[in-house]
Amino acid sequence: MDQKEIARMAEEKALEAFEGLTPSSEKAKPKDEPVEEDESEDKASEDEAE
Amino acid sequence: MDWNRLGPGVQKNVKNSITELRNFIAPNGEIFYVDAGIGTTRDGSSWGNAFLTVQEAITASNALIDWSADPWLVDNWIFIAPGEYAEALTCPYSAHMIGMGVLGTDTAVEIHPAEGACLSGTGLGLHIENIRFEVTDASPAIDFGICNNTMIKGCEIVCGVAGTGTHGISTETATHLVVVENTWQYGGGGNGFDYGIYAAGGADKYFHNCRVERNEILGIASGGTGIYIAADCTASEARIIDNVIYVAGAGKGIDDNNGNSLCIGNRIVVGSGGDAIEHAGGNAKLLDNKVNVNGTVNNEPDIAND
Repeated sequence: MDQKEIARMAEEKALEAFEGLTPSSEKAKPKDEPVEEDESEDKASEDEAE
Repeated sequence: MDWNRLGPGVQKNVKNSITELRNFIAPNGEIFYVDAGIGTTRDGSSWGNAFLTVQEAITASNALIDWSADPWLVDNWIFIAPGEYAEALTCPYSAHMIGMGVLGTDTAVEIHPAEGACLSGTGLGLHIENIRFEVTDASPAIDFGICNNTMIKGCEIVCGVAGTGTHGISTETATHLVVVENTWQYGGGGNGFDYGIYAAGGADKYFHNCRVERNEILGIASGGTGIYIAADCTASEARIIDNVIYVAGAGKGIDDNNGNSLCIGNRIVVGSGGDAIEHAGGNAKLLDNKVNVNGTVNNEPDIAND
């Protein structure tokens, strides 16, 4: 395996440690996107009222 | 040494002890030796058969990795004899790289390339200890792109030529990087690095769970910054604890634009117009930092009166 290929494999392995972390772009999403109403909750409260 | 003069029993016991020691140090990996003074490079298997250059040992260490194995780790050791090594190194992976000798004298290990970073590439399972890294141009002394599970301990990070230093240690994205008990120094001319530690960040980059502890970050250019974290560099669970930082002029000790690092017990001195701690998280993650801004000493955050 040549040195470039070894370096590429190391990068690939090193990046595995970042899987599961929350990236900054995802953290920003809730502020940007409108909050959708939860229809199932509404349905449950309607049922309770009946 | 002529072991026979000590008797056959002693010879056998000493050899057994060396084997046991070797197995204790590197139970799973190999040990490589480097000695700039050996004259001719050999196979790196002992001090008497040492490699002439550090990069030869790094290449040999990395060649033993089976990347498809699980676990792939080799846990090799590279011991380096005191001396100056004019090499711009790439990283060994899953390896310990240890300098012999005593830092602060001419009997230490010094990585001192004519140009370029002293060490660059991906930090992956790397432990570096007791080595002087002296950079002589505008490259970072240690330049990681991706850095994962790496420890830099007891090293000297040196700006070798006045007015040229950029970053002492630079990362683009890092997790579980430990930077502990190192010193940053001027190498000549009284000027230094623009940044001691530089977490560059970028879209979805990290300084996650990194520990910067008990360092002495001097050798920073007037108006420079001791520790910098970019706004888009998520520093979740990062700790900056018990460091001593000195920046002359209107510089910054800690500049966390991401606002996630926990900064506790640091001692920071900056000059006129300087800002000891600029933290995007406000005071919520600061405790017991003592700062001196141009001669005026305060706590950050302020201690509230009862």
